[in-house]
Amino acid sequence: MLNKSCYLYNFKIALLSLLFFLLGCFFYLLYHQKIVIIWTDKTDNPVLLTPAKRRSFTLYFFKDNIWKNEQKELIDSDDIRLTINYLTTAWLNQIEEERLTDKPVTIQAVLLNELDTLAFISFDRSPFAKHYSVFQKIMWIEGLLRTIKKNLPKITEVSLLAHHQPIIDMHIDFSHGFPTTGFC
Amino acid sequence: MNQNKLIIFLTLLLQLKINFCKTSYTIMLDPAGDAAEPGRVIDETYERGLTLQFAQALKKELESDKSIRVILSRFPGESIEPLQNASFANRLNVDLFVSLHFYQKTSNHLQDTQPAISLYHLLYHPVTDFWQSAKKDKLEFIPYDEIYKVSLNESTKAVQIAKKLLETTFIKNSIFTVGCPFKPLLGVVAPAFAIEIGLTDKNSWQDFVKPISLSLNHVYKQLYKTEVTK
Repeated sequence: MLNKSCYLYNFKIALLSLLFFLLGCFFYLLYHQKIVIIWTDKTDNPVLLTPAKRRSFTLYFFKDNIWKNEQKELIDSDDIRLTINYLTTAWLNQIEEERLTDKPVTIQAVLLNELDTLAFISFDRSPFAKHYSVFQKIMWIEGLLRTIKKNLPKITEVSLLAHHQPIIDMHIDFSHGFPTTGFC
Repeated sequence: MNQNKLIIFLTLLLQLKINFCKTSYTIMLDPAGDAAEPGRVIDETYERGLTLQFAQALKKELESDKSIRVILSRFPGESIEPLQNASFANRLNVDLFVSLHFYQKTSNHLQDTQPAISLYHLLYHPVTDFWQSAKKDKLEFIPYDEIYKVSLNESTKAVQIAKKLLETTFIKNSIFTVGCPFKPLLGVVAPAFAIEIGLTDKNSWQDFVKPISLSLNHVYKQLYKTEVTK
C-alpha cells in the first residue's frame, strides 16, 4: 500500500516535471522566435482591411521664386488619416528631393477631429532649422497646405505638431491650426 | 446759466481739438533676440546684436523728425519674457510697433531666390479675421491672441504703404508681404508689422537704414493722415 502511494506520488512529480519542461521548451522557442503565433483580430492592421486604390495626387512646392507641382501616384484609402499620412510623406520626400529643406522630418501620427475637417499632423521634430528665414518657413507651410487643399478638399484646417505638441518656433505661432486656403 | 453752457461748450471744443491735432507720434522698435536668445547666426555674429544696432540707427534717423518719438523695446543684456514687449507697447499706447529681424543670405540654392525684405503682419485666417472686429474703447475682455484684430486693417495698410515705398528703392519683386501667425507681434494693440532683411554680411544692415526709416515715416504719417515731410 505504502509502495503504491509512493509510486503514485513519484509519478505525479515526474508528470509535473515533464509538463513544466515542455512548457519551458515552448516559451524558449517562442522567445527565440522559432515558433510564431499570429493572433488575428478585426481591429488589427486597418491597412489590409480598409479598401484602397491608387490615384494621382498633386504635390505643390515653392522653388526658384515660383510655385511648382508634381504628380505622384499614391494609395488613396477610405481612411482619410492614412491618405493624409501617405500624401504628407510623399510631399516631404518631394521637397527633400528638390533640396528645399536640409532638415528631413518624418510623420509620427496623423489624427482628425470628429468632423474630419481638422487634421493634426505630428512630426518627429520641428521641420525648421534655426537659420531658416521666416519666408522659408512660410513657403514650407504654404506648400503643405496647398497640397492638402488640392487633394483632400474636405480638410479645411491643419495643425502641425512635433511629438504631439505644438511646434515651438521663434517666429511662427503653431498654437492654432492653419487654414488650408493658406496665407499667400 | 448761459455762462455755464458756454464754459461746457468751450471745454468740449478744446477736447475735440486736442484729439484731432495730435502733434507727436510714438513708434516702438522691437529688435529680435535678447540676452537669453541670441537669434540666428549672421557672418559669425548674432542677430540680436545686429538688430539692436539697426534699431538704434533707425531711431536716430527717425527722430530727426521732431514729431516722432522712438522707443526701443529692449537694451543690451536685457532678457525679455514672452509678451513683455507687447505689454510694454500697450501700456505706452504706441502708435506703431515694428519688429526687426535679420537672417543670413548665402549663395546656397535654398536661399538665393529669397526676397531682399519681407514684411509680415499678424493674421491667423486671411478671410475670417477681417470679419471679426474688436473695439479698443469697449470695456470687454479681448484675449491676447485676438487683440491684433483691433488694428488689423491699419496693420495691413501699413505693410502695403511700406512695400510701395520700398519698391521705389529696391527691385520690385524683392519685397515680400504676407499676413501670417507671426509670434513677435502677438498681443500688440497698435498697428504692428515685422521687417525681415536678408544680410550678406554683418555690416550690410547699414544700407537699409535710410530706406526703412523713410518708409516708416510714410507709414505713420499716412496712417494718421498728416503732411509727409520730405
